[in-house]
Amino acid sequence: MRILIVDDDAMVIESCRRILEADGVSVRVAENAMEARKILDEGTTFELMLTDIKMPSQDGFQLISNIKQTWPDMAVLMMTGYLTPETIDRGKSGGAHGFIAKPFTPDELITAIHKTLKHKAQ
Amino acid sequence: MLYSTRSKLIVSFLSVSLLVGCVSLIVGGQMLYNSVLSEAHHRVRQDLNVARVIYDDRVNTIKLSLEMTGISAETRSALTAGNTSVLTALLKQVAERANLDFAGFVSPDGRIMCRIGEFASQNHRFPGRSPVAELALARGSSLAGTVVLSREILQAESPALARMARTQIQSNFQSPSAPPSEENAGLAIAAAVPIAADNIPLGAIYGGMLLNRDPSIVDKIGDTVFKNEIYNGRNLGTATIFFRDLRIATNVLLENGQRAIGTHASNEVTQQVLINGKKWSDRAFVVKDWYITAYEPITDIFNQRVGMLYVGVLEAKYSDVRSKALWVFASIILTGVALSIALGWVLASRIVLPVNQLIHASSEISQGNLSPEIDPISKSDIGLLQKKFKTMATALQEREQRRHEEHETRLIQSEKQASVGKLAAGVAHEINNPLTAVLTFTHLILRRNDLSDEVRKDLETIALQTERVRKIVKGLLDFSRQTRLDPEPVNVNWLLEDCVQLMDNQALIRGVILNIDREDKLPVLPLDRNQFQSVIVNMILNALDATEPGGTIDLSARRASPEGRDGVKIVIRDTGSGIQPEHLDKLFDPFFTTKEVGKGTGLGLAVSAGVVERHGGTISVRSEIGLGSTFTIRLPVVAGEVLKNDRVPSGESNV
Repeated sequence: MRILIVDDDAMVIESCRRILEADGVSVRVAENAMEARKILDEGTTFELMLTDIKMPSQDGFQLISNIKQTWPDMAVLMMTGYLTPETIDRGKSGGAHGFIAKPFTPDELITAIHKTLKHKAQ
Repeated sequence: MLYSTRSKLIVSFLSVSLLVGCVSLIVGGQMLYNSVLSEAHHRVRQDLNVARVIYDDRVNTIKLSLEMTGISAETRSALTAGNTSVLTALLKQVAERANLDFAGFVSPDGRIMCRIGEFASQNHRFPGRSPVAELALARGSSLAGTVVLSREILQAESPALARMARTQIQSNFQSPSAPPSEENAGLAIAAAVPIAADNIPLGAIYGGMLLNRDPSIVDKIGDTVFKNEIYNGRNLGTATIFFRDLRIATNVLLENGQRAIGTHASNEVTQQVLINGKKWSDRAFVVKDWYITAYEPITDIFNQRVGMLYVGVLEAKYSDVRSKALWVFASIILTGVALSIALGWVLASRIVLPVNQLIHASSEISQGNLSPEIDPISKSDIGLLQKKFKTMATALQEREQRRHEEHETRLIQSEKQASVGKLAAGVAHEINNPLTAVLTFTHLILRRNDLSDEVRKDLETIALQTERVRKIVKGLLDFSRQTRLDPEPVNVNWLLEDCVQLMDNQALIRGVILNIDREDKLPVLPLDRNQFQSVIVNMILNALDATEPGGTIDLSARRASPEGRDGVKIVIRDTGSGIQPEHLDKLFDPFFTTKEVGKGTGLGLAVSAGVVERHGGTISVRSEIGLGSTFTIRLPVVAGEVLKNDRVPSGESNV
């Protein structure tokens, strides 16, 4: 399984990468939306994109609205330190399939990823 | 309105005094008049008796005088001898003594032997006859009484008498239909005494006086009975002798001051007295005035009713008593009316003044001045109203004060919430990233198998403490989130049951008894079921923490009226350790906790209070050290304004 991680905080990226790689997941990381777009454009297929919401220049919502047409098969899990009902509403209508609030433990992240994939499959 | 109170009061007083006055005027006046009148009637009847005595006395005087002359030896011898000159002298003597108008001797066969009249000595033959003497001779005893003398008899006695007796009949008010004519006969009182010697009749002596135009009897009655009293220029008491229904002797005066001789009595009186022979007493119009009168018939020696005797008292004297009394009554009524108006005015002022003041005070209250001027307190019933009003104003003031304080408390609370909220939102975002790293790496390291026990224990402490930080941040966000309420109709009884079910195991473990006391038919409230459930669960958790094993926690729901609105009161009472009085104020502040470090975030009650308040309810606490605490939640049926703000869900959340 391939997962793309997008976050402007290097420590968060590193945490996620370590959790997922320990679980045998192939991981690519991007520090902002532009970088993520570039990686996707390379042609690699990702089953899931784990993206932060609050990022400089282009936030998570803009990112998923830009890519969901081109990669409709990719599941999107959004993570944020401040999860509100509005965030969920907005993310849902933008094309996200799951949400997780920071901070989380490795197990919580794995569970959330599985739920998101399951939801996307439905 | 005030004007009408005053006029109503005055009108009431006025009508009472007028009613009482008029009734007493009519009833009292009438009673007074009637009693005076009946007294007058009584008096007139007595006066008539006196008049009759005077009349009879006069008759008796004539009879006695004639008897004295009749029984004297001189008379008998002169009569036996037929000596007319001596007889005439004797007649003149007795006539002078007894004041007789006519007198004479008759022979036993009724022939006039001599008389005092003008034709006394013509041919020694006297015309005429004497009906009195004839009757006395026939009976053989002396006789006296009233007698009607015809014109012929009168003419025979004396032409002067005949002239005197002739009465011109006046047409008067009482009998206007009577034809004006002349009465020539006369009414007289007369007596006759038969004279005999040795049982041989010698003849008889007779004499009498003509009543016509003779004022002596009526004047004597006026003098004796009425003392000639004059009332308003008229005789108070009047007396009259009637010949049949014709006035022949009277002291009733005509308008010209003449005696009212020749006028008739009224038909009614004539009918009752002269024809039916009854006494009659009533008010009657005599000549020109109303009199209270009494009549009785005069019977002649032949037992025929030939005339009437009358006395009367001027009614004016008594009716004046009435009108005087009426005037007195009327002035009393007028005084009463004036007094009642004055009294009504004064009383109305005394009532209206404090009422006015209250009205003024009411408008001041409605303009926001809750301590208006009400003194001085009236001593009347209005005073009670004033006192009640004052109490009401004070209560209003206190309520206003309380509301103000509550409002201020709420304001401070929401300010706190707002500032903490902003801080929390910022902090959460920044802190959560490094926390993610800490949690992740700690857990990743913990997965390794080559850790010494000591390191593993330390790492576990790091993981635990990081969880603690996560909880604090989550609590901060829960507190600051102005969560959008999602109200649905909720039966509080079922909600409490759900909560108790959730907490039953916990309670069992801690050895605390969890009771629920429900009231049936509670109103259904619009509540956010999830948020409210967490409020109740949080309260039960707090109660469990405070209660030793063996204690109890009682939950109850009751119908209540917070701030006058229909609603529900939920009470959570524990038998725990209680809350320090100095902690009560800060109990609902965020981050205030009495629990050990790490056991509580100090946000539970703050969040609960926020939820209750956003449902339009209130939460309060009473506590006594050692006895336990009681939390009371009051909720209105119609929820307060439901704020729609962001919600911060905890942990993960999937769509």
